[in-house]
Amino acid sequence: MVWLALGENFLSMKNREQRDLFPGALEMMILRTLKRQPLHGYALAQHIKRTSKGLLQIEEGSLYPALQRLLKEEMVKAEWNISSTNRRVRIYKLTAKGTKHLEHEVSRFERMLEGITQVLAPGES
Amino acid sequence: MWLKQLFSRRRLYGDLSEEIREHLEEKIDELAASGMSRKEAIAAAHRQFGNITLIEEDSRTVWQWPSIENFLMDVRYGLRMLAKSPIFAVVAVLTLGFGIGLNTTLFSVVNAVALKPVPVRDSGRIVRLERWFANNLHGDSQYAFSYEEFRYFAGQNRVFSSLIATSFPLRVTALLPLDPAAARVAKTLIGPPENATVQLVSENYLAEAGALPALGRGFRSDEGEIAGADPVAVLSYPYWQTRFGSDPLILGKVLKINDTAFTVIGVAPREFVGTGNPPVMADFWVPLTMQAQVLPGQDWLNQPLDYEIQLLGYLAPTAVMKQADADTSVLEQRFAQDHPNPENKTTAITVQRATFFGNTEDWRFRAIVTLLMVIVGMVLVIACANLANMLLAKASGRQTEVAVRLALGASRTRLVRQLLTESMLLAVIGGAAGVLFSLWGTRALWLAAGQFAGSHSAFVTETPPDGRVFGYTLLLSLCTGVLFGLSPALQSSRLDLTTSLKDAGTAFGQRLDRSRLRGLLVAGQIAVSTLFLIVAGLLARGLVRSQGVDPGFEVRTVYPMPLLYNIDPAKNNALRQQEIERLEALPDIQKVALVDFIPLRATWTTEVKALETKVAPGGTPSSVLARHISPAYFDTLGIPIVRGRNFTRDEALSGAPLAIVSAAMARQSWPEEDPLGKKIKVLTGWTKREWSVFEVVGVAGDVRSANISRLDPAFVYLPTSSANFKDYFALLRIPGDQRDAMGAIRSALEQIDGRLRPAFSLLSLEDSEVKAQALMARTFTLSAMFLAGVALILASIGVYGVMAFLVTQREKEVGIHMALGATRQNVLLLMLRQGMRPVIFGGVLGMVGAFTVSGFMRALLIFPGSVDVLYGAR
Repeated sequence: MVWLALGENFLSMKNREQRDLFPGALEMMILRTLKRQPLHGYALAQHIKRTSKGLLQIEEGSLYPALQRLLKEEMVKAEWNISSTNRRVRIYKLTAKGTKHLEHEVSRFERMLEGITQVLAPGES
Repeated sequence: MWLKQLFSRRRLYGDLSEEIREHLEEKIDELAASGMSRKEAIAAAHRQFGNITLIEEDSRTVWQWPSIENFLMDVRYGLRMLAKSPIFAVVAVLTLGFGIGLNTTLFSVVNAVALKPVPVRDSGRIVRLERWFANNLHGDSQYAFSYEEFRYFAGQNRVFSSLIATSFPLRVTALLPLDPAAARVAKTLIGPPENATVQLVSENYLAEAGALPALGRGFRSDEGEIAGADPVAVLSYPYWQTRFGSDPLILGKVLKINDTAFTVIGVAPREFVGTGNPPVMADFWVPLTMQAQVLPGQDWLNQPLDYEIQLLGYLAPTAVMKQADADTSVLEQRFAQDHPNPENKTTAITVQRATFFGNTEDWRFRAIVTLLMVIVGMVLVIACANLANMLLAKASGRQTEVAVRLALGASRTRLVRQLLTESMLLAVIGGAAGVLFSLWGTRALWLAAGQFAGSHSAFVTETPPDGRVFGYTLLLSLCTGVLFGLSPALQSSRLDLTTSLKDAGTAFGQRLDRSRLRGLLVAGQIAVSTLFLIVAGLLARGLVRSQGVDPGFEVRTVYPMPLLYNIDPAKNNALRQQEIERLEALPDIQKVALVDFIPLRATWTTEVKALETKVAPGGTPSSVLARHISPAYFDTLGIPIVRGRNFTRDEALSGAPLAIVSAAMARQSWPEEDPLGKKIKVLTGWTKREWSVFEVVGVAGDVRSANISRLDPAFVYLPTSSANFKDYFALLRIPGDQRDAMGAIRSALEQIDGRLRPAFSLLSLEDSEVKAQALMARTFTLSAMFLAGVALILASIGVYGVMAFLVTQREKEVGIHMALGATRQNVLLLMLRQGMRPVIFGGVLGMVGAFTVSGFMRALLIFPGSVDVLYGAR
């Protein structure tokens, strides 16, 4: 009984993770966005939200653990700055390593997507 | 990299918090700008952002080595929690320390006795040879080999890099030390005869065992070649220290054993305690080739079937134990072709890791160890149950804390882990306390064991705990932590958040299975302490019996005394004959009897077959207690001859094949028949199996001569003169003052031979043997009562805790009961009924258990005789 309850809890934890689509997707989007231009966290969140047209349900906060991971892997670097609206912001910039990683990830993703599309395509079995 | 991170960590976290704060503010500003009220904007921003604490934590984990850091944090937190409730912490640590300490103590002893290898050089490779007889004879003789076997094995084997031999410890009377050139040692010119323990060893014994002499030299390789040619001795360090005050001039001095002068050539190093089995340390070692001088009348060196010495071998680097088994067995077969042993064939020889205490493979030893392990294990389980209960009670006080943490987004596993860390912390601290307790406990146990072994036995009591003991304790502590911590942790982290946050939890439904668990814990505690109480009661009954009981023969005025000894067997007989005559002539001494095993100190257990009986072969006793006695034995001890007659003096002198049996033996062997004139076959060989036929001429009354707590089950008395046993004792009946008698005896013996001043003291059987048995019984019983008392106290605390908790939890319910018209009495009854249910359940369980255990105890322990506990009579 006790163990069952523990199991339920693990399940609910899993549910929370599932919103990330698949592991690495959020990081990929961040890198792609930063490739266009360096941005700070809030702007990054707004941009992703806007361009995905609200199709992806992302908690704004979940950006930050992802950003920390990228920082640690040295794919991005961060600098404090003053924004145009006169706010202290931390601007994230893509590094060379990040650029390379992004290319790699995107091509991998495209291949995966292609595969999935092939399988999902109707009438071709 | 990681280090750098550790230092910059604080700044990193600061950046992160600030960044998130800025993010939220920007969002709020934006939302407010789009027309929301400030308050709505804040709420919306937070909603869209998610759980800030959790996100910060998740972000931080990116930089961490999470498991370790969480663990360290939990430890810090746990320590803080313990510091916050110091009384709980102290009680818990003491409870655990006690439980773990008991277990560690027992394990230390078992470790030292059964697991620790003999403390010699390269102890990982040293093995002891063990012989297996065709007739399944067990005991010390399994480790005994003949000198010729030793020489044969040493020369022919292919598995040992070296083979060493040692006798069992021998008690000798030595004159210490006689220095021919003595100028400065007047006080030790010649000492009175003293008892000492000596071991005859092969010349390579000390060198192979890695005992580099602290002083002088060890044996040379040529000092084991010619019989009787090398009267040299190496002293043990403690003997040199205590007996000779660490005199550096001891080398070259002479000590006398029998009539041979042995020159002291060296002192063994401080750390060398011999090779054990039994765990007695010799006072000095002499070469095996000196056997005839140390033990006159025996001829070990030339008797291929005289099994007297132990063999230990160092396995060659390439050899494993299995190969050694095979190799030695083959060698033994070849040896037996030249020297067949018709009486008791050796079927195999195996090697076993050489432990200091010797035969630990005996099932009785194992059974007792298992029983003790279970007993002390149960004390620990009680302690765990108590702690689990305390933690459950504490957990209810911490419900709000847990609820808050859950609400803030802590996962349940994380919480369980933290609570478990807290209990582990307690367990480890308790374990440390346990180690401390066990150091004292072990010391006390060894001292007690040394006392039982006798003050002269040089029983080795230095056995410091080793890594194995610490490992065991750590493992035990961790298991304990899980045992008492897991279920409270799981229970308390499973919460209905809303109820717990709303009020500090008095929901009725949710508490149900928690109290069932507590009930079970209490029932278990009660069961174990009931069991202990009953066992302690049984032991106490044995104690009472052994304290007040009349052994059935005279003990107050009977004094055992060793007899004089001479190197030459013929002279020895004459000397003893003379001594006995002198003693008999003394007016202070009423009677003098001879016996080979002193009553209540030791017995001889042998096999017997009753002939000419109508009882089926399995129905008569197959093993009996026996003694060789002189005819005066019955008179001296006041044991009645109830039928038939005593031996006559002539019969005793000529060694007539006659026997007197005890009434119990007669009853069992020839029920409803006259035992007189019946024949019995008794196994009389000591190492060889020899059966001799005796005719029963008398029946003696039943007494308690082996074990004061019970009548001897079956006893056979044989006349003295048999040459089987060389060590006779005199039993003197001295009705008057023993000090007068002692003076008279001393002067009488000096008249026989002035040089043979016997070192003896007169202690009556009552003062020595009866008291020793009583002491043993008292020790057993007191420890059992101590354990039972502790178990009971722990269980009472447990019951009280549960009751108090139940009652506070149900205050509201009680209120409703009373409001609806229940009287005080009704409520009291209700509570009692609930509280007593586990108590009664546990009590019944404990009684059932005790019933089983007491049967087991009776089969296992022939309580409480000193010799009978392990190897005595059945």
